[in-house]
Amino acid sequence: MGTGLLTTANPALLGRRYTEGYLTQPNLMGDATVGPVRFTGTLNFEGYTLRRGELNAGIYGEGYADRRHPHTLVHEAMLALATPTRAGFRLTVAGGKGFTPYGTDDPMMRPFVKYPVNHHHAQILERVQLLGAVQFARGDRSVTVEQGWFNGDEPVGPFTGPQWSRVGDSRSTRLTVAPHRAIEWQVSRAFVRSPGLIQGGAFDHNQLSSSLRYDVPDKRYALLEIARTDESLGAQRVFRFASALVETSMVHRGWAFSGRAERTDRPESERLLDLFRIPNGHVDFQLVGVTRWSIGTVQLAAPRTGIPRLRSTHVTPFVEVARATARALRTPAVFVPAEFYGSDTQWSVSVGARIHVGTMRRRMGHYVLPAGIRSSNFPSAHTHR
Amino acid sequence: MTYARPRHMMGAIASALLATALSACGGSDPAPTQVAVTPPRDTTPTTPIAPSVLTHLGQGAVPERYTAEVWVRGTTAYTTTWGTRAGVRGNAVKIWDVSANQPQLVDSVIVANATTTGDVQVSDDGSLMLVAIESNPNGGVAIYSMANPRAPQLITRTTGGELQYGVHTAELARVNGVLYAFCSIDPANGVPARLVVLDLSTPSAPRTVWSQQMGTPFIHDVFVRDGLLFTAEWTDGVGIWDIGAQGGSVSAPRLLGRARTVGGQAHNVWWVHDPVTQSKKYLLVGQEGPGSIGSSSIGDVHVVDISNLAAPVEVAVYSVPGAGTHNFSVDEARGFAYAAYYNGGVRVLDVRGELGTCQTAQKTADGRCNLTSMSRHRATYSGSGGVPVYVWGVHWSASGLFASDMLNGLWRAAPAVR
Repeated sequence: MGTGLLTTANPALLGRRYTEGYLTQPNLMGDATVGPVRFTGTLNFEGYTLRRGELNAGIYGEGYADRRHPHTLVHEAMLALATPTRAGFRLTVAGGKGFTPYGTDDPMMRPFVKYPVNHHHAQILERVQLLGAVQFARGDRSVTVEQGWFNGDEPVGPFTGPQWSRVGDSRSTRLTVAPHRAIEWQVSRAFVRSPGLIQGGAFDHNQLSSSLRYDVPDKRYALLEIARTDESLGAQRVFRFASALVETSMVHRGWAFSGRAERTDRPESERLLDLFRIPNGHVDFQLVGVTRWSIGTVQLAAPRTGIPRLRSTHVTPFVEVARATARALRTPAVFVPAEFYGSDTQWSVSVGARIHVGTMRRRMGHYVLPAGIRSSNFPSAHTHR
Repeated sequence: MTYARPRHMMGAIASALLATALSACGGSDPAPTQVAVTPPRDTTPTTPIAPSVLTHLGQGAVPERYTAEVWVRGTTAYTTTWGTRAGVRGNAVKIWDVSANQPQLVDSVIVANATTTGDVQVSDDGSLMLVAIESNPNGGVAIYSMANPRAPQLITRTTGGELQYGVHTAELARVNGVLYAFCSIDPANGVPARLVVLDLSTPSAPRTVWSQQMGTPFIHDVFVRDGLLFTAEWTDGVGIWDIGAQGGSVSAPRLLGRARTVGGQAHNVWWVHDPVTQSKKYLLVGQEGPGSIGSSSIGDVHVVDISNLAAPVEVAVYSVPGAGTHNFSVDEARGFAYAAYYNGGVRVLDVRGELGTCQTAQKTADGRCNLTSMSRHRATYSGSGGVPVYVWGVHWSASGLFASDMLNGLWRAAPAVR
């Protein structure tokens, strides 16, 4: 899959309009199941197509700000082994690199092309981990508890590997309750050791997430999510950043209309010579401010079409508009959003087309199958419009 | 009713004489109005004396950039700049005429590819100026000729090497007649913090004589005096190194001891020499806790007794609720330490005499002497006009007390006197 995209952001910073084109989210996904063993793999090529990052108001992380960072080449490579179901119970153990059992699905697999600001509050990904899960299911209803141990260090570049010596220094736990095939509630928490400096010594993160998801494939989708990240030194909480997000999508005769509202607090760091870049970790444990981002996004996607003479290809054109406002939560601040961006309101318009070949997954970031679901019918929401 | 003890009176007289002598040697420096403060009453168990307020003398406004460090030599002051303010980078060093009370901007130099120009210092002979440069991967130092102190001429600006990750602080010090730059290097992902010492014998070609991974996770300021090097190493406390005092050298320092202060976060150091009492046993250690630059800060001034270099012990602390300390400058002749206190402005501490001896009522719960309870906090200064301040650095000189305020520029006040 991949998305051809043209984005204009006004102002992107310093009162300037930026217009850029990308091939974003280029992925090669492959799943395989042999008996009780399932492999989930995703190669992400943003390291080749998105090195400067993608304009995305408010987004931050992994050394980027206001541009979304490229993901690592090996986005997922997870091997899971599940036991047969006995009296409704099924055990799963999984290992490899991928999404930790924390938070919600990767925004890549949700309706919008632009990521929410809360990406690093609501997902912890691209970590080497060992995961264990217990699931109890009756029909479509299930309760799942997952526990993962992983490396706390965030990726430092698309082609850089994890710190193997740190595998196991961080952990997360997720409880997922699915009372109905279309409804899922999760609550999760994580302790992440020094994500900002791979050699350790930066703030630790204590993260909390809860979400309610409603998903009727091809028809209706909604997600209500709250997330929180506490940055701490030992037992001392130093900073807290909170996020609330609601997004929904409705499909009618192949046309998908989606809307998202988000309010997320972002820590501000000194900008580097490239004003879209920031240092990893906070220098001297200092922030230069906390900004509250309030962003509304709407997207209209046309019915999916194929490419003539190319079998199994699917093209979904879309237009997406976002309005973002940024406000300093602490004053006086040395990062003053209205000064830095040239306005306290930013607009972003994106047009593009999502292209994929073959069968898409419906979700990303879960290695325990929902009750009654086999991996072969676990496609993407985007393929069902 | 309390009375100063005789030794304090003698100290005050000696200090006043020394201050008079220093002022007389100040050449064309103005004689600013000075605020007299009462002598210390460190063993008197009464309510602490309310500190006075230093007399404001002038301001050099810097509205377009955030101001960082300040250095003063003679009638010229130098301030550096930090980060990005409305898109304008901290790549300037501003040069001020401070011959009058009101600082006048006379020139500035722009440092290529800098986002922050941090520490600035003029060598003891006045020939060179050193500027620390951030950020990764454009870190380094810039060295200027000061043949004309109002118009520094760039000799070299380093690029690459170990300094490229960002020189967070840089201190000039002369050891055995050789001028060195002690550069504290920012950590980067996979690159731990490091102290790099440059020999500036040939300023156009600085030569690394010692490079040592140091600090968890940061190495911050250093202090060099009498053959000892003090390194503020954050969680690791303060390292005490022999670089000539006891057979060590700058190229092969020997670790003599390590001072660990309550709370860690060791950020900066000043080894106090008191010309009146001859005391050299106290180390002032600044603690920099997590904060939001511009609005909040946290961190105390810790007093460490280093009578035994191998086993230093913290004996006293000064704490300001709602504010944290940053850099120091000490008027040793008068026995006053000036501590930049970010959103708390400038705090003046009386550091003459015994700091580690106090009555029970003057101690903290963990047994350290509380300098506030001992009435050691003598004065404050927060600029003028009631504007919010965020004071990064202070520089005491015979001509005045200068404070670099990130938000407002350069402030000048009359120093405290006894």
